[in-house]
Amino acid sequence: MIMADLIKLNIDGRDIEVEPGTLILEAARRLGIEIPTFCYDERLKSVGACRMCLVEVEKSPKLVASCATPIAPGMVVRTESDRVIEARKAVLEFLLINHPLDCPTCDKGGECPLQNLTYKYGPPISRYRERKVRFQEGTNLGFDDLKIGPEIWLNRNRCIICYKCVRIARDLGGSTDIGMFKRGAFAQIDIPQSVQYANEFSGNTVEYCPVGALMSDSFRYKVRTWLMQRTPSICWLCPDGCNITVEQRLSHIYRHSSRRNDNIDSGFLCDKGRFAFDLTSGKERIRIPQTVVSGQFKDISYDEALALAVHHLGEEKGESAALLIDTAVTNEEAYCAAEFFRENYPGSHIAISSAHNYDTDDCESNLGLAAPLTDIEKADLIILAGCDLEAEHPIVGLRIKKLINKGIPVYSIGSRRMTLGRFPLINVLTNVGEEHLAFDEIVGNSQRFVLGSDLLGNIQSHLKSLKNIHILSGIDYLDNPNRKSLCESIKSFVAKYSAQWSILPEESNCIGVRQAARPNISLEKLIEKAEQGEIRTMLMAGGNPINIYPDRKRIMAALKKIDYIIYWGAYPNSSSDLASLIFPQALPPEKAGSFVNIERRIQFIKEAYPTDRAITSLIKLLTEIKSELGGKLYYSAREVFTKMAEGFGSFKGLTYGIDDGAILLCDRLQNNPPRLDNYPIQPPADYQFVLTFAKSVYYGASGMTIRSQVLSKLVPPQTLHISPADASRLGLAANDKVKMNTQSEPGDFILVIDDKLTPGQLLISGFSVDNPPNIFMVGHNRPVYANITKIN
Amino acid sequence: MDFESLAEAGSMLGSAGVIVMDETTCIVNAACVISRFYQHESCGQCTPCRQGTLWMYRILHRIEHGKGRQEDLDLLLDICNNIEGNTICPLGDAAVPSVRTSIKLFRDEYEYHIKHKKCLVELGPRFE
Repeated sequence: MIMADLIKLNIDGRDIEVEPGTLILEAARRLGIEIPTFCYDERLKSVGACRMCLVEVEKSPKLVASCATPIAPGMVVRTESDRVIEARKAVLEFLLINHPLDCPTCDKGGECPLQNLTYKYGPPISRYRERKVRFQEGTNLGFDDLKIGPEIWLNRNRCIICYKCVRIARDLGGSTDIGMFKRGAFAQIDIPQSVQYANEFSGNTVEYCPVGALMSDSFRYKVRTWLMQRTPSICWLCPDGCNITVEQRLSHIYRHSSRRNDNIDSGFLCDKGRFAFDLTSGKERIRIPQTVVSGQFKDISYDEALALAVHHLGEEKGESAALLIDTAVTNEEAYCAAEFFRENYPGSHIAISSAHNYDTDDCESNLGLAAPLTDIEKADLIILAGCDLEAEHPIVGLRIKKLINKGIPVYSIGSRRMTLGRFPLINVLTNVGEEHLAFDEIVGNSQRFVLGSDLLGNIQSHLKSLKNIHILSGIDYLDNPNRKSLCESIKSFVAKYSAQWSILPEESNCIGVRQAARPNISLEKLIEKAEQGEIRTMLMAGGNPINIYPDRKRIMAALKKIDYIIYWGAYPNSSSDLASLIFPQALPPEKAGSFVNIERRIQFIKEAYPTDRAITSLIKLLTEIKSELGGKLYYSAREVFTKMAEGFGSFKGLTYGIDDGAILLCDRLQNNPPRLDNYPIQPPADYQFVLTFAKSVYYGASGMTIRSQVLSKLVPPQTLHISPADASRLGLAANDKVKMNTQSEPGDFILVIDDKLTPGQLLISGFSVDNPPNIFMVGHNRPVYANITKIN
Repeated sequence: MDFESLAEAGSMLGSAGVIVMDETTCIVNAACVISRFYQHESCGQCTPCRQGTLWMYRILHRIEHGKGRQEDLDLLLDICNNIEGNTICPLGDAAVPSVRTSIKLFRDEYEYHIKHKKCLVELGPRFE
């Protein structure tokens, strides 16, 4: 790239050289000159609406909006002249005349840009003698607040028309569900009739509203902002690893807000990470240890529970012990637990509870992003091979949206049409299990024409000239019935076009836990052992394996055969029901440690507030057990990490807390990973459909997110989707109640006719407690066949 | 009559529409109606025009209806200064001259309105 010549200008008497196209406000910021503004955000398109950032430019008769004016050679800018200060005062007076000044009750009070700038420039008294413009809503008791979505409230009186929410909805969520209505002083933010404002980024509008006009239902009028303590933390509900601030008062978390990290989230959070803050304070949360007495769970003291655990683990010798560790735990916990099992129980089994099969050859070398997110942004071409970014990785999706805005082609190859808000993806549709044929055809290895000549020509002409190509694979790849063929086809594509291939895991700390725990057996093999009665004692560390293993009946029956399960977890669930002893789990904001995100970036969390003695991290629990049974004792995550840094894989040489943001190397975990298999699609005579599954963006932590009261307002109901062609063939209409029969279980659903599907498949979208998707599944990558009938 | 000479006189040619008023027209009433037009036409995107045009109209409306205060005239001139040159498009700038020059040239009529709560010229046409 040729560097364009820098442009010289002068701001407040100081010279600076910047790239052409830079805005005056940005150039001033580089000199440390802060120009006040309400509507400007460098991540959103400028509108120049608030006029707070007016500055004086020599030879320009009018003041100019520094947030919308690019610099020019020789420009002389004054940001603090009398004329500029007068204009700022004038704009603030205009903003305040119709503002209700209800700061004492407003959510934003204490962190409000309008409040802050009024202290600096605002008039001490009002000259406005007229009646304020009021957007009345209901009775006076409601403060004129209007509920515009399940989680978002709007107060139009407070609004200063900065268009930030409109731009966030449009550029992030890709929706036009919130917009400006009417004009003049009666211009107002509103939603179209019969629309609810809800998309996966809706919470950002609340955070970035410069006044208290947008509020979230869960935080509204609950606590004053200055009373909360803030702890920097990491979101643990998906592997993107967004940086968050946990805001709590008296050990109760009131909200999560973003903590901008331009390497990862750029300051935007998805609604799952933002609104699932109440997982720590859920009513059903396990707070007291429990044991089973004559078939019933009974609360016991922590010391009694420890004695029981020591007794049962002490009797255990070796090969019949198993550790099943969840992916939503810290690296240190995973290491500590695995080390305990390796040292105390030689020959014991260590497995990771994940919904997909990662113990394979392709994941050994390609799990995680092949390049940091900031480099993905420089790609020339993106191919999504079985990855629903919108649902699986909304924050990676934001980067891809930026690419699409720049005109970079983004293809999706799969059996259903993927969407990314209003941003156009080029979808290449195949039948289920035939995705590899599309790759073969592009590479030129196939005689079957799946793509059609136009599309093929387009792709090949793109590929000829482009160098920086990324393939992203996700759940649909990991669960693909013909994963072996797809893997081979992608590999030959990668070799031919020197592309980079990333397999993105679904679970939050999947990469970190795998590298820290070093599983020696796959979950499937562990289940086999349990079925044969070879496992007597199991420590189930967090999560809910029964919810996620793709054959619910089988894992349930296998776990029932285990004599003694010690469960360490946060909520009672189908897995904890099988346990004999339950310890309460400290969730991430309640403990310290590190997480690894999809880029393999290691990030540290701190303890936000102390918990009850019984609610422990796995490190503390195991240390108390080990003080009786023997073994190395750790008193903090830092100690564990220091031990790991002494020479454990790619953790070697890192320092706790200091190497925040370092990118881990990809450790080889197995020398001879199991080979992939194909499970060709051959529906038996009675079944005409292949059943596929789509994740909801609001699902995470092996189903724990359903315990979040706030999030539950946003989760759409579980539905069964069918292609329009199949629906008309069977005479089915939208919203019909249907019964689906599979080889394992039947299930009742509401039908949705979905033009994103190719014919021959049914798709279950979302998760519900009544119909957890894995009751229909029959094992990793095995195709599920189904048929449906209408219920009258 | 051209752009420059009208600007010098404190007005503007705009779309070249001309309204002729004689001495029987109440200047406060006329200014009020003109400012109502601008507050109605303001799109609402930028702050000075959105809030300023409404504020001016409401003050003029008050004076016109006998509820004016002596300090309103200086306030109106202040608002004019605060709108002018600070907006995105020329609509805000266009809303200013009719108010500013009418106060400058017919201050006595405004003051009569404020003091006597009625019009100096009662016979002429009134715009609503």
